[in-house]
Amino acid sequence: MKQYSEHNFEQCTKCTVCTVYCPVATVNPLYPGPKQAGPDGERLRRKGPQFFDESLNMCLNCKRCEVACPSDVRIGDIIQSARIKYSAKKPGLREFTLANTDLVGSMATLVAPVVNTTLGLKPVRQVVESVMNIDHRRIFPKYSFGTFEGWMRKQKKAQAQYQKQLAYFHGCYVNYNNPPLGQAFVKVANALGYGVQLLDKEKCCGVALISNGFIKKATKQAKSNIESIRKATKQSLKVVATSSTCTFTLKDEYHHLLGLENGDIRENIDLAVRFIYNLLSDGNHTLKFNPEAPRIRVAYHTPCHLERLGWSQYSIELLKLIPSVELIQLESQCCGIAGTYGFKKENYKTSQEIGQPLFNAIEESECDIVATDCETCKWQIEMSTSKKVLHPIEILASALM
Amino acid sequence: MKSEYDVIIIGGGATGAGVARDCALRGISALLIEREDIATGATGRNHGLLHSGARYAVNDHESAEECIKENMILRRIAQHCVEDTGGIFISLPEDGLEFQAKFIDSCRAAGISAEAIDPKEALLLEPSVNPSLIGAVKVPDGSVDPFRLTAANIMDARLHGAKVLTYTRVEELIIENGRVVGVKTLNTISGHRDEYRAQITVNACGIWGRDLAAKAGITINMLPAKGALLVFGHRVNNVVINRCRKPADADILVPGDSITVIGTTSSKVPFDQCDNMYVTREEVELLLREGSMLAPALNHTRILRAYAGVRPLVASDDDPSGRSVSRGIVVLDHATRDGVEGFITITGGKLMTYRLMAEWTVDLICKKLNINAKCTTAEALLPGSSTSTNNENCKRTAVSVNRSKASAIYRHGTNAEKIDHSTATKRALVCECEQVSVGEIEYAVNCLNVNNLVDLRRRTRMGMGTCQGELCACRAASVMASVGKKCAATAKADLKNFIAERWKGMAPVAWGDTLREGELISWLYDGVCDLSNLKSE
Amino acid sequence: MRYDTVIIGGGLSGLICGIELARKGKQAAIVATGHSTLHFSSGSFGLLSKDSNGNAIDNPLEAIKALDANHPYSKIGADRVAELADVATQCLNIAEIATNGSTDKNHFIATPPGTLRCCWRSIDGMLTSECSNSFDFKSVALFNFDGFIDFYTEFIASQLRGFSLEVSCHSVEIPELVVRRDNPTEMRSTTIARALDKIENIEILAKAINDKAGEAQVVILPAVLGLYRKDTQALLEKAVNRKVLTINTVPPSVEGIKMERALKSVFKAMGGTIFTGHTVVNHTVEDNTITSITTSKDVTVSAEHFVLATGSFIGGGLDSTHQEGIFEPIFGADIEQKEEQYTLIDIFEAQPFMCSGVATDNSFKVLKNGTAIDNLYACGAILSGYNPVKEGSGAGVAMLTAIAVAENILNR
Repeated sequence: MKQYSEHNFEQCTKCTVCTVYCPVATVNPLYPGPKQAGPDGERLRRKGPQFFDESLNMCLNCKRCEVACPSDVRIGDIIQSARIKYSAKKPGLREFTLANTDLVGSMATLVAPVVNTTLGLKPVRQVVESVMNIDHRRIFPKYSFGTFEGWMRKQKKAQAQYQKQLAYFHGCYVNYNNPPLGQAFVKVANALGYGVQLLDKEKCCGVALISNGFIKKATKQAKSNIESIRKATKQSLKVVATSSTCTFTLKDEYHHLLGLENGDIRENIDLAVRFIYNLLSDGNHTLKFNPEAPRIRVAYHTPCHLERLGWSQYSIELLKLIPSVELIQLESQCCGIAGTYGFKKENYKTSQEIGQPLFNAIEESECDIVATDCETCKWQIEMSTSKKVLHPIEILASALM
Repeated sequence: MKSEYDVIIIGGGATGAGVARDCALRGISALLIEREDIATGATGRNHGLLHSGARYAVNDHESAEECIKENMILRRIAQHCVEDTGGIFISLPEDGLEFQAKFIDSCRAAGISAEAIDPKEALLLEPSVNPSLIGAVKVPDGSVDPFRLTAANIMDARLHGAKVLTYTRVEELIIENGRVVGVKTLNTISGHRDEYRAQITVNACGIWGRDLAAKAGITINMLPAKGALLVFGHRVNNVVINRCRKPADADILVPGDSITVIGTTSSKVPFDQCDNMYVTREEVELLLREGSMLAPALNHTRILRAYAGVRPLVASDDDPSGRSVSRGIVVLDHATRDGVEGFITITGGKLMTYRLMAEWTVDLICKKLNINAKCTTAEALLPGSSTSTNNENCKRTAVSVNRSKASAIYRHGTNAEKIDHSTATKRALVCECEQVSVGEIEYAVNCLNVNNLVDLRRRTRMGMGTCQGELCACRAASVMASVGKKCAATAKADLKNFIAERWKGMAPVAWGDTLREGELISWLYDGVCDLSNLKSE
Repeated sequence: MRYDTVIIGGGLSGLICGIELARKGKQAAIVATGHSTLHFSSGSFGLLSKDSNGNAIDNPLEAIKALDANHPYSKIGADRVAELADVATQCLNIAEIATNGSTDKNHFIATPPGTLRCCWRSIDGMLTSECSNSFDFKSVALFNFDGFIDFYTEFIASQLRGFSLEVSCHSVEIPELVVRRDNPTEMRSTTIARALDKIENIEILAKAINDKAGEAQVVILPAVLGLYRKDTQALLEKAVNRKVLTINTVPPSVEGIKMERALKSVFKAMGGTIFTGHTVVNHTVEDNTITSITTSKDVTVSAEHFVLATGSFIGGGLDSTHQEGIFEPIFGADIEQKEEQYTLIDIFEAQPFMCSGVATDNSFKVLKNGTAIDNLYACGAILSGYNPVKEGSGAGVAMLTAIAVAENILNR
């Protein structure tokens, strides 16, 4: 049997492969790079906290180093854990605002038109920059007027009609910014004979809390989500999420970064594209496509956390199944936003430089639409290119009869 | 270089270095001669444990007292070589608790603070400790870096006028009228032969001292006792873990710098093996089995390498059978013992008592030379050790400085200021595992008697990290060549030796990740760089 | 998901096997833990470079005839080696990896410390020679980038002078790289290569060469000429009006990375699928046939045929523990040359572990408990019976056995 070290970092053979694929090190000369920040540094940090370096905060947690590593070292986790343990930088108002996506979202959706207009105004963005250190060039996602959860409450009866049921983890983005994606997912699930319900209680997955240093709050929310998912699991309800980052956080980060036990529910959490692809390939499920659907040229972008999950092929295969779609696969690379990272003024330049090769590839692809499973990739690409971005599920839903 | 000295010291281990320093501080002109590099013998091949003396408390009260005194002295004079990790003596179910009470009493009698703590508290103090422990005693153990300690003694000796020759072999003792009056030497690098004279010659050669004494027709009954140890890839524990029972094999686990060491075994070996120690499969198995009793995580921790040293056990003069050995300090005045004037052997003892051994030796020298000078080595700080509180001071400054400096301060204490980190290239890290910069290598080559990559490793930890030189050896060789110490051809031959030296320690433990690393090293240096094709010169 | 063939391992061998299958119209998928050992490539390929005394072999085809029966080349058939070597060259050509060399005569490539090492093919533009101790030019100017510590100018210069070349050493300062050097570790070969993807930096380099190289006939640089840009070397040569050649650096190897990317992109363009970051953790067997594998990312893939191209120890194809010695972690395949004492104390001796690997029959079907698994083949460094380092045969065995395996699958 293969023996894995109890100390994952020492599986590193110092081969330097990860250093080649770090998007931050590529553009930011000050970042120590995944090898030094990760396994090399971890070994030294055991000597004393003086070997921690605040430059580790430059890591955007894309985990591309982990995918590149030939030795299965969880480099990104090592770096994030070190930040959690040692960083002396305390989160401020900006971090609070960016990280508490559900709190801010629930307030904003009540007065969405005002917030959207205000955040769109240049003078306001300048103020946001000077007060909050959020870059003024950054375009905020628009808030929806009314939440997805609100919409779902009205669907309860209709959804209960279906014999087979699943629980949908919609995430903050679908709830506050983009209910149509959730609605598209419900449409596809229904077409496959599944009724959709929500978890008893869904909290924000907490990815932004973790990356902004609110570990206590993240842990609290994670525990609540694990409980809700556990309950659904006991009722034999599959828990499906459209967001690749929410899925990744629920499945992996809760255990690896917050140290929570989620082994019993991990397998019951699925990503929408994977869930649907697997249904379609079992021979008992089919979808009827609208022959009239207009042909579109779709360029697929693999979000970092989906790359890390290892499931981008499901999105790709699913898109290939849509007759009206002509698919182009973009080279898998980071778009630079990394959730809230790119919003911060000090990271704006790094963020845009990281994304530049992707933006170029998108423009050169001459696609009609970019498809991706991650909401923050969507913001970044829509802000930085001329293209509109949709979730594969939205494209799939619109191609159905 | 002058050829007349008051004292010639043969042997560049901790003891020899300590004698040289003590002489120099007392104003006695001294020449130290070492056949290889400093700290290559038993000094560099032990746990690196800053004994509290607790281990000896029950059976050897005198050693225990000596240890705790020297422990406190080293904490003061050698801050940058010492780390106050603290230590615990744990009792496992199979040990019972009977020994513990006696142990605590004996410690206290020797002046060693020993406090019994709850097993739960022990687990909090050191989470890696075997959770099935039934008792634990806290003692003031720590860790000491023998390479740094020896280098600091050498440095201080030189600062006070002593001369040091490494890679110089004593071929002959010059004996005139029944008196040792000097030595004939061969420099093994240049091939030069020289003669040096002194009123007193000190034999501080450890186990090799038997052969040196034989050159003067003197017999010292020594028993080479091999002790094998394993180095784990990182710090598994942050507190020294010992077994609370009669001293036995593999019952001490010491965190030292970035690694953890388990040891030792104990076996008699023939003299002809002392120069070429290999760790056997059986020894590795014993160390792992016993080690994992102290900290179960060792079973799943990468082992970087295995090494072994030879303790110089000296048989009592009144016991010709050689069975009764002394573990204490042995100073032999060959004038009174064997009728040979001008020759002293200092042996036995342990790394912890090197300073005391030196003090006794130099006291005897003073007596013989009619010099009235007091020993000050217990008070005078070694170079690198700062006058302010302790290591914490270095640690605090390190927080704000960049990666290249943090490790340099850790290793060199206040001497790190002498490292040129003024340009980006000087700050560039050659060894990424242990963070050794170009500047630090230049400092070592220029100021710390470095002749080759292995010497450089002892001064800086270059190549002692996870990759065992895979990524840094070639870089370091090229930096050495460009600092001007070497022509390219010699530097390449040196590189080949260094890679071979690293692998020698890896081979006995080459499985899992260590074997992967070994294969990568082989691909890069035998394959890509084609070093085996390098004809030795 | 289902494919015709699933190849486990995305290194040179797995990629060549995938390309061979894909270009014959098969649906192939590659499952790999991470990026491959091509990241340590020397920039050259050895078919059989050294004899048992370590001396350079002139004609590898002749020497291969004398190998013993268990050697992978003997399993292919010594008489077929030349033919498969041509196919391997075709694969490289398809991927637009320009190499030179001939199968019946080895040549020599400069190593990072500047010595010359025997090889079969080498990447175009690297410093090579037809013989082991001379070049067909007389003077070279050796350039390094300021602060780059992975290029050993002094070593190379002294070695080249030993070959009676006139050598001058120079350093180039490129402002973008000066900023990079402020990072104590991340000025690696790839960092420079990225900078040299920009035309303005190529111009700065060209100017420095023109200012300093004097009359030197040839300019030598570390092998860091552009990661994505393909015309860097050509642009430089034009700008400095003489030959520009490169010498490989220690990892990461820019030439190796370019090679991996080129092979992957050809494979994908032919319809191949690559799963990166997936370690195979489970599999199902029916009637001595592998039916599916499951990866560490909970992805299950089924196929007609499976190829084990996971490499040796460093690639993860072979592993070892204190108790069990050497083993193959996915299928528990039989291990050949599993010596009790698989390491020797002198690293430059032929290490027994280098020769161990999985046992196969002559069609490279993997043996388990002495029986060949019907649809599982092995190729590349995981094979037993040869010492890639001592023979200088790693790349040759990787590519030729991959092609042989692809043929065996296609012929079924």
